[in-house]
Amino acid sequence: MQLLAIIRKELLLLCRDLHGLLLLFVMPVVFILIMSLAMKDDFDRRSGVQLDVLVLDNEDSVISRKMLDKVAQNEQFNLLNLSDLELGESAELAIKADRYSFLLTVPKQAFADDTVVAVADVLVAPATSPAVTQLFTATLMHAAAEQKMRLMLEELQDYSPELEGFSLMPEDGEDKKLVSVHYAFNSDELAEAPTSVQQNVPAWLVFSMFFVVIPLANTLINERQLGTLRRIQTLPVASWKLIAGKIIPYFFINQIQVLLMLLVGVTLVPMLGGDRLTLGNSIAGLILMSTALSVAALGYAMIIAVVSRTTEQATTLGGAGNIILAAIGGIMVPAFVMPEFMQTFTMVSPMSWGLQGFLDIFLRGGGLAEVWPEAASLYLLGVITLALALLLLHRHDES
Amino acid sequence: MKLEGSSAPIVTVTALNHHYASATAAALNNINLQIPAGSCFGLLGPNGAGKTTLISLLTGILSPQKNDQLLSASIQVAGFSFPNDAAKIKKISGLVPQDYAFYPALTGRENLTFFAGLYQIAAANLAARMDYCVRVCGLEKVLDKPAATYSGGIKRRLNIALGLLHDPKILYLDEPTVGIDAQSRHFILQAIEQLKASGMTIVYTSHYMEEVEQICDQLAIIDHGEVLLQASMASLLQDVSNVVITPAVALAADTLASLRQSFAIDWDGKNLTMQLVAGQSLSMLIAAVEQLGISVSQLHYGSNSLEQIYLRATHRELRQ
Repeated sequence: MQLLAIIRKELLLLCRDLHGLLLLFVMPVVFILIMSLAMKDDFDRRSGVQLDVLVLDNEDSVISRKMLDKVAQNEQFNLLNLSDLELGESAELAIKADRYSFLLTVPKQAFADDTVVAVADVLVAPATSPAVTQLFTATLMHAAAEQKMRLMLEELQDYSPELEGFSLMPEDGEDKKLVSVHYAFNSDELAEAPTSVQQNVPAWLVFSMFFVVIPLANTLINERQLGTLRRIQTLPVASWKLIAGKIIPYFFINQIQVLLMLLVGVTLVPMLGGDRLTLGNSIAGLILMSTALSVAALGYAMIIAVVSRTTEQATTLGGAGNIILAAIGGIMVPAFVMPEFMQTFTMVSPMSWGLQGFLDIFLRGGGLAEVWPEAASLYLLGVITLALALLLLHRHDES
Repeated sequence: MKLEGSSAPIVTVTALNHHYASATAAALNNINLQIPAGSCFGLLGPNGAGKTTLISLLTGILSPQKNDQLLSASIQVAGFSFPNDAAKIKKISGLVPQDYAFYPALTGRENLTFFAGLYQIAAANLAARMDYCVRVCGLEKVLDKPAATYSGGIKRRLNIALGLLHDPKILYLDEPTVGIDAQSRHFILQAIEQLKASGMTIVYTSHYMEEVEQICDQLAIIDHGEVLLQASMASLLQDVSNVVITPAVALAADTLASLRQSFAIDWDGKNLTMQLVAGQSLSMLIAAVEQLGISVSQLHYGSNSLEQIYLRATHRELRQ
């Protein structure tokens, strides 16, 4: 009954604290939406998502189609036939507006007429990077040259029947054997670069979970300053109930944050044009990570609440501490774009442990077996910081 | 020791000491005190005298310190003693701190409900207890408004109501009327009189002497962590040995020297306190005053003012 009264009071106080609610629920949603959408293109390039190429095949011959098929074999490029689309504007305008990366035009009689030199014309969109342009033109040149050589061989075969069946080009698949590729790092990691939404949802979720520090610390400090804590100390209430009564509601607030942010990633971000968040397939792993993160965040919050004398101190210490932990932990700047030594340094921040745990589940199909080291670290940190906070609180009361 | 003219003590403090780790001097030094059951006990002392520490120990906010030299120290409340019976003592004690010890963001009703939950008041009694507290403290019209919107006087009344919820046997009121207007003060003093009439023991600290004089029937003055004086209010105020004269003009040094030859006197620059000893009478004293040509503006005999008692006991030192 006492515990319920304390939990009810904490929830009522939080419901009346508009700034606290904005901080815990609205801020992360805004961050997720802005960052997921703003960084979409950059993440798409890093994670190997296809670039859209508009194709206008004016020749429309077997040879031109073979050339285009060859280009399409490069998974970086998604060829879209202009005649299949209803653009509603000219192809040139669509390219100028950066809706597509390239416009590839095959002129009439490109291969049929020997006098036509350029068998393909490429219009590059403004935002398409030079490196990608070079890659695309090299792929296209390779495909065009192959078809040209095929034509030349066919002409030679007309004069020299003994060349029948002879090919200048390697068989399909044989060309891949011509070059052997080795990685100086684990090639699996290539597939681990998250999409914008995969990075931003867990990142800002972790960030917002640690922000329970501000409302939690403020209520404790207000209780100390107003004398409410002094009154409560005259009541027959066990001190564990006072602490549990504060921690339990914020633990559930953290879990609501997790549900809300995942919902935003799954529904709202795709509605606004971003990618849909993939949740992996381990509910148990997700629960383990979200509870572990909450315990760590609550331990951190209690430490800040106990060492701060005023609400201003708690807001500054808690807020600035969170921002530093987020900057170090790969929340604000994704770890995979950092230099290697900084990537190692991210492990200093518990936010990084939480983020990696979530990425293990969302991105790498991980479950309990994969996330337990991160979860255990967070639980351990939470238990240590909570114990330390209780010790400091006890000492504070004694003095 | 049972105080003359009083009932059995509900609180007995014996040889109590307390020393804060961060302080050089002891906050409480060998405190011996008895609070009669059903009394209104005034606890007076300058700021920093040790009143808050004493109330903190009596209400269980602070734990009595363990020390080999303090084995005889004890706090007994209604037959229970700290620290073993702390929970039982807390159940029968109520504290109304000087601060507004409630949640401004919650309404009066939500504050009362929260503290009722902490006191574990049975559901069957809850409505009746809340009604009683609301009625005694006159909170009916503001109960569902956020406490932050209350005036200073209503905040004080809510502060008191929260201390009454569990029907305590002993209520500690720490300066309950500080910083409020005359009407609110009058209302609160009436409410305290009502509680006193119901048999509740009240421990009252205040810097308003006239309030203490009005409602308290027992008094202790505490300073530098020591009890300087403890007596019933009636015995303190009744005084046939002292005559307090307020002269029309300040007395000259030679006039005071002449008086000192015959009487034990104390001159504070405004009032002249003359102590009558055996063989001296009021008429002798008045004759001496007239002989010295002192023009008397006021003369008090037979009763002390609490303020004078307080200032004499604490040596009128100005505290920082």
